[in-house]
This record gives sequence, C-alpha cells and structure tokens, in this order.
Amino acid sequence: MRKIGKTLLLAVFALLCAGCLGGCHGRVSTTSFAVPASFDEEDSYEITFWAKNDTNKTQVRIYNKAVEGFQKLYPNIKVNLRLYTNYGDIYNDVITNISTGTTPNVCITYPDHIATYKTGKHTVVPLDDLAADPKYGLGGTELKFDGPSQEEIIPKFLEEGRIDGFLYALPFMRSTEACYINKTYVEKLGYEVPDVLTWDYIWEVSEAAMEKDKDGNFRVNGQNVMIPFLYKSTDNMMIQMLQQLGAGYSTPQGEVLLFNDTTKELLQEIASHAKSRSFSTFKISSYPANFLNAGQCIFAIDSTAGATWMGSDAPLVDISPDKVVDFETVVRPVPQADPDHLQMISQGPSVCIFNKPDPQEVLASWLFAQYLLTNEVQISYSGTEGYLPVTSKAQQSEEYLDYLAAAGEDTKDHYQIKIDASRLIMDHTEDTFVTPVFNGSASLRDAAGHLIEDVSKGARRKKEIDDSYIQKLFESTEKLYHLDQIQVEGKEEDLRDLGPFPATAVGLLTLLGIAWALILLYVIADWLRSGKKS
Amino acid sequence: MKRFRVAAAAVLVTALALTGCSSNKKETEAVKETQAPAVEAASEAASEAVSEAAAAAEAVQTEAAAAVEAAQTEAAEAVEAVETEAAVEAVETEAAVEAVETEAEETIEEVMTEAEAAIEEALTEAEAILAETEAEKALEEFLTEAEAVAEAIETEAEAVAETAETEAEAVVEAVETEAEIVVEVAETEAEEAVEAAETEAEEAVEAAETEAEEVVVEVAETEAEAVVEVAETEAEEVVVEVAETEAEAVVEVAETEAEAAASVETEAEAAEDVMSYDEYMAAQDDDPVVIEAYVQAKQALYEDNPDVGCDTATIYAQDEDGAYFLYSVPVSPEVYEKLEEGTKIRVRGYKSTWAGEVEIVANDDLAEVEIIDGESYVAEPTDVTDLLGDEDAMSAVMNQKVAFKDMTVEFIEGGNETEAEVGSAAGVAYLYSWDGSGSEGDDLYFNASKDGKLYTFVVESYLCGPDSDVYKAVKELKEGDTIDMEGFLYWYEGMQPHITSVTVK
Repeated sequence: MRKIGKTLLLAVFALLCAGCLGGCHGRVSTTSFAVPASFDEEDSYEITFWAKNDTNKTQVRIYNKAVEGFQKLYPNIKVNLRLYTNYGDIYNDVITNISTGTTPNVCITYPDHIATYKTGKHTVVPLDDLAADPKYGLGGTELKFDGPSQEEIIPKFLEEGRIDGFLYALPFMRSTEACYINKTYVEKLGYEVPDVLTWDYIWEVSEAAMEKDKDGNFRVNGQNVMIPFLYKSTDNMMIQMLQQLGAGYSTPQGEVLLFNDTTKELLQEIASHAKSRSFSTFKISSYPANFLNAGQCIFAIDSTAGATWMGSDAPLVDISPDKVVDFETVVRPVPQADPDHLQMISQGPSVCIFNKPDPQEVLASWLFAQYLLTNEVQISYSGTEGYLPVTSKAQQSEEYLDYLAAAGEDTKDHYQIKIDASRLIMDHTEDTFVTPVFNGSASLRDAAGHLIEDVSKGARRKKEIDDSYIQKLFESTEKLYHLDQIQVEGKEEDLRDLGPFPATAVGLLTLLGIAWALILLYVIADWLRSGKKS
Repeated sequence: MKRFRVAAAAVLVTALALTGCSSNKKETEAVKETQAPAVEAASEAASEAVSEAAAAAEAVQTEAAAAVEAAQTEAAEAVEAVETEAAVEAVETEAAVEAVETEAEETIEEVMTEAEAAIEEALTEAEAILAETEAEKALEEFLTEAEAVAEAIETEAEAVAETAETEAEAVVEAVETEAEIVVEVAETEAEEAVEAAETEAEEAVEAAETEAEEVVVEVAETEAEAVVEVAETEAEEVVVEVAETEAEAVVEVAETEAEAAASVETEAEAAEDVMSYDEYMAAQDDDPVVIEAYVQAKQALYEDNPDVGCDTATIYAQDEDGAYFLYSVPVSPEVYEKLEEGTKIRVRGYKSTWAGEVEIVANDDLAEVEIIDGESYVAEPTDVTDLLGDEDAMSAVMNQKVAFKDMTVEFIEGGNETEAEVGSAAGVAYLYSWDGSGSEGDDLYFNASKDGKLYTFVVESYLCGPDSDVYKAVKELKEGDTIDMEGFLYWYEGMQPHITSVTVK
C-alpha cells in the first residue's frame, strides 16, 4: 500500500513536471487527428466535397456518379457535392471557411493552396497515417472497393502532395501544358512541325505569320485578325522558361529568386513579340482555343485538360460554327530551351482532407477521397479531357489501354487531340516538374504571370521595355504580391543569437533542476531502504 | 507474538499456583489424620508447583515487560520511519497522511491480532492445567487481567498512532510552509525580474526619447539656421526689390495675366481630352482613352484585385450617344458606394477588346473613376428585338441598356438532367454556368427564341446575384413561357446579354 502510494505520488509529480516542460513548447492540441481503430458503420456521417470541374458537364456527371457509387458501398455516409469551375474560387472560399470552422471535408485543390490552408493549426489532415493504415489505408483490408495500393500511385505524382515532409494531398488527375498547332498554316508559311519545338522556332514562325497582303489582311489566313502565338497561363510560361534555362524561381524554403537577369532577358524577348502583336495572352485577348479554331492563331498553348476545345473538330466550341475554319491540328510539348532535355510543368487537381472534431467523420472523408482513385473514377474522369490517371493500376488496365488505342475513332469520347494530349503527359511523366510549395508560393506563381502580362501590355501600349522599366516592374510586383513578406524557413535571422536567458528563466530552470535532483535522491534512498529491509 | 503467549502463560500459571496452594491447605486439615502420607506427598508436589509457578510467573512478567517494550520500540521506529519519509518526500499531499494513518491502523490491527492470539493460547494452556482443579475463578480473574493488559496495549498503540499522525501532520505542515516560502521567493524574484525589465525598458524609451529630442532639436536648429539664412538673403533681396518695386509690379501684373491665360488654356485642353463616343469608338485597342458617361449599373466591388493592383469594379456606363463597358477599373470602396444609377463619371484608361467585347481597362497610373457632381442620366432601354440575328446591327449597340420583347423560353439541353442531378425539380429551362457544370450562385444561362431562332441569355451573378429578383425569376421559367427582358448587351464571341429583369407574360 505504502509503495503504491509512493509510486502514485511520483507519477503525479512527474506528470506535473512534464506538463510544465511541455508548456514551454506549446500546448498539444486535442484536435490533432488520430486514425480510429475501426470505422463506425452504425452511426451516420454527412460530408461535403468541394469539386472543381473544367466547366465540363461530363466531369460533373462523373463526380455525381462517384458520389452515388460510394454511398451505395457506405450507406451511412452522405456526400454533399458542391461544384466550382475554377481553383481561385475554391481557394477563396476555403480561406473564408477556415476562419469560421466550416471547411469542407474533402476538397479538390492545388498543393500551393494547401501550403496556405495548413498555416491554421491542424486544419488539413496529414495523410501518411491514413495511407499506411492496414485496414483503411491505400489498398487496406477493410475497404469496400478496389482501391490502389500506395505503390500503385505514380510516385512522382504522389510526392507532389508532400509538404514539409508530410503527405497532405492525394493526386486526383494529372495534366501538363501542350502546344496545339495549326499544322496547315505552319506548312503554308514554309515550315515543318518538329517533334520538339524550341522557343526560337516558335518566335520565328510567329513573326513570319505577321506578314500582311496589300489589303491589310494577314497573308496566312486572309483575315484581319491573327495572333500567331497565344498563351493561356503566363505563370506557367515564365516558370517553365526559367526551369528550362536553369534560372532561379524560388528555393524550397520560400526564398524568392524570380527577379533575376534571366527573367529580365526573357521579358524583353517576350515584349518584343507582344509589340509586334505576334504574341498575346488569355488575359489580353481571350481563350487560345477560340482563336485557334477561327484560324486566327497558329500556336495555342493551354492545358492538356483543355484539349477537347482545340481543333476544327473539337467536341467543345465557344465560337459560332460558321467561324470555325478547317485545318490539321497536332499536339506537341511546350517549347523547350534544350530539345534534348525536355522539361514541362506537372499540374492537375489533387485532393485534401480537412480536419474535424470527430475522427470517424475524418475517416469517412478519407474513404471517399480514396474512392476517387479507383479505376472506375480515374478512367472515366481522365477521358473527359486530356488528363492522365494518377495510378498505374488505371493506366495499365485493359479498359484504359483500349481507350487509348481507339484514338480518332470518333470526335467525342475518342477525339484524337484529347487522347494525344493524354499520351503526351503519359510519355513525358518523367520530364515533368513542380515548383516548391510554401506559404506564399501561390502568390509567387501569380507574380511570375504578372510580369509577362505587364510587359506584354506595356509593349502593346508603346512603352519602352528596357532594364529600367523591368526593374521598376520587379519592385512593384514584389509589393503587389507581398513577396517581401514570405517567411523563409531556416533564414539566417531566425537563427540569430537571442542573448543570455533572463533572470526569471534562470531561476525557474534552477528550481526545476533542484526538484529533479530531490526526486532522484528520494528514489535512491527508498531503493536502498527496501534493499536493507529485504 | 510468541512473547505474548509465554507472558500470558506465565501469569496464568502463577495465579493458578497461588490459588491451588490455598485450597490444598484446607483439604489437608480435613483429611489430616487419614491421608497424612498422601498429604505430605501432595504438599511436596504443591511446593514444587508453587516454586515452578513462581518462577514461571517471574519469567512471564519479564517477557511481558520485554514485549511491551518491544512494541513501544517498534511503534517508535514506525513513527520515526514515517517522520523520516515525510520529511524526505517533501510533498504536501494528503496521500502521505493517509499512508501514515493506514500504517498506524495496520500496526494496531497487528498488535490486536497478536494479543488476541496470545490470549487464546494462554486460555487453552490454562484450561489444560486447571482441568481437574477449581481454577475457573482464577481463570476468570486472569481473563479480566489479560483483557485489561490488552486494553492497555491497545490504548498505548492508539496513543502511539495518534502521536505519529500528529507528528506526520506537523512534518507535512512544515514542508508546506517551506514550499510556500520557496514559491514566495520565486515569485518575488520573478516580480523583481519583471520590474527590472520594465525599468530597463523605461530607461530605453527614455533614452530613445532623449535621442529623438536631440535629433529634433538638431533638426530645428538646422532649420532655424536655414531660415535665418533665407531671411537674411530675403532681407538683402528686399533692399534690392524696394529699389525695383515699380518695375517688378509691372512684371508681376504681366505674369499674373500670363498665368491666367495659361490656366484657361489648360482647362480647355482638359476638356478636349474627354472623348466623344465616336472618338472613343474610333480609337485603337491599347490607345489611352478618357470618357465621361453615366453609371447604369455596377458589378460587385473586387477588393484588392491582384490583376490590377487595387480595388476595382466593373461598370456599365452610357450617355445619349452610346455605351461603355468599364472592366475592372480602379474604384475605392468609398467611391463605389456613391456610384448610383445615373451618376456622372470620368474614366481614364486604355481601350481593349476581349473576345469581341469592347471595353475600357485600367491605365498605368491606376487612375480612379472620378465622380462628377451635378448631372444625372438614366438611359431608357432600347428595344433590340428586331435586331436579333443581325450581328453587325447588334454590335452597334454593344453594352447599351436594351430590351427584348415577346421572347419564348426554350428547352435548354442538359437543363433537366442538371436539375435531376442536383436534386431539384425537373423541367427547368436554365443552367448553372454555360453547360450546367456550375451550381447555385454561378451565372444562369437560358435560351429564348424569336421567330424560331434561338438565342442565349445570361444572368451575370456579379451583377445580379442569387438574391436578386431576376435570378429567382429565371429559375422559375418554364419552356414555352413568353417573356419580356431588359439588360445590357454584353458581348462574348457574339451577343450575350446580361439580363437584369424578366417579366413572364
């Protein structure tokens, strides 16, 4: 009895000390998620899924079908679907809902955005434990569907969801950018379309296309409108150009390297073509697909997930049919600096899970997120655009291989350009890259695009785009996107010497030391006494 | 335990021996003559028994005393151990007191158990010895005495326990007091440290203030010197000026007149800067433009628009000559609030065309939309129903407030399916987003026909959101409804009116 009493006393004291010491390092929140031992199938759960589609009705149908299929397997989980058509709106709504504690359960997103979401404590659930759980993890024994194992997710894509060493997102679909080319016009201009485009090539052909006839119409298309080279996402354009040239963009720790001499040179080159009007952007002119299909563009660069809009026979068209011209379309990787060493961006939706007080609800969310990786969802969704399934299980399935083999058999489900776009990323998965993710990386991406948009507008407005102009642009861009406020991890200032401890801290630490010494002495004395008695 | 048994037996035997001796004397007298030899033998035996009993009693007494002493020593040791433990533990919790109490109780229980066992054994032994004698009385007396001894031991043990408890409590109190003192000392030290830090901070602030004052004084002195210098210079100049007053007065008058003339010219130039609608339409894309017009409607304020670098709004403006679409032009929240229907504004920006839509976008200086007080104009909708199908004629009224009369609501492909999917009623004639891929809050698209030709209309959610009458009205439209509509003739790769009102006939 006495021994038990002493043990208890020691335990209480040790706990108190541990509490004090723990307090020095911040309180451990009770809201961090731990994987439950089993999923409760008796209780009912309602989860919300915020999904992004490419303004594509078929994708909406697939989401709905996925929800339906999942609910059949798990009748106690109700999934509420909310549809978005752009990532920006999802991002803004999530940020708003983090502050009110009303985030969705499952959300389509970009890793850049997650880096901001997770600045809230325990807001986004790290997926490592869930993925590795033998019962409910990837390929788990208790799953009611045939999901992929962790090894069956393309490793390169899986790693893109890893932030600060933890897995925060599962890849859902992957795409890259592609150059959709009016081959008919290129050949009319006296050029061939190479397997790999270079930037020099694309600038040269674009300038050649600006020649006009005596009536002021462009010789190549006979129209009064021609923008030979149109780029949809100028942030990707700048990022890929810098990557291909080995120039700075950012470090993984969040240090901004964008404003460098290579960027200056690139901007001057781009501005010269904007000035001649051989180059323009989506923000300045409109969707590249509309100009391409109207015979007013030769090189349209957009996502492979926009392939169904590209070409004379495109299943989706935004201009009146009488304006569509007939031409041959071919798909190529984005222009390269070194054609022997291709580099292209990896993009596409990922899925993250938001934390909730009830671990069972989080587990329900995880089950649904994982369901999105089943072959059924992966193959059907990837077929809506030039997407690529993110699992080898889907990519190597007979169903998917049949789908690829049927390219060109029709202009809808098996539209040649769309399947060519999917093949492009499939063949070049190892040539893809992503930019470092940190809190502020989304702003840096916007800033990269802003530089191109600004010099293009400036050149069109007859401004002199020289060193001085670009230097001012660098400064204003850094301020506009708050890049000077990005916290660089492990920056030297953060490791600076803070000087000696204050007297109060020294006193407290001394007291703690004495307390532990006394405890130790007591334990030794007690042990010795026990030894003598026995 | 053994000690108590032996002591009790000794006492018992002693008492028995004494009682037995008295009885033998009486019997001796009664049978003296007949049983003399036996008496003698018995007497000898009795004497031996008495001697043995006396020795046993003495031994028992000695052992009992030793037992009591041992019990006391044991209790004292227990108390000492508890005291030592309490002092070493230095933890002021009731658990220690409870442990001591428990220990004392256990000691009492043990003593009691041992005493009872000793009594039982002694009783057994006594019963055996007195089986054939009249020792019952003595036994009773012994029992009484034994109980008294046990009670005394119990009382003594309780007293020992109480003393131990009291001492333990005293120890705990002492430890608590010491702990409080330690805490007080720590608190005092902490307060002193805080005070020291505050004092240091105050001193730092004072030093900074002093430095600031010194800087201010220096600056003031420098400025004062500069002022003195200027004053001296001016004084010198005044001397010169006095001499030239008349001449300068003439010059000043001439300069004033010249400035006035220049000002008139500047105002005239500014007025010339503002373009007429025709001049605006004649300008090329990316040319700088300045227009004045009247607000007809505004979309939601876009705070801190990253594409522009400031707060912006999209505005539908018009005058008697034509309409302007002001896309994401700089507007502060204060100005935005004042932009009522009919408000006159001046806008500086660049002309632009996006997907066929002619518009004005922000200029490089991010010049804000300027409100011009006094005048107001609200355009009447132009009925363009007859222009439907004529793209050139329609583009001539681009962005204007327009009306469509007697249009027929048509089935929209995907409408039923979309609603079925989202769980709403079937048979609707609208889509969220252009193909139904959106959801509540997104733009509404619907089709209406005139003379058998189909046209698409939009409720732009940033202009008329889900709470607006027109948004709700469109969601109630059914295929075949005849409607009148008003809105602005927005353009996206062709006519795409932004509808602001729908009336079902």
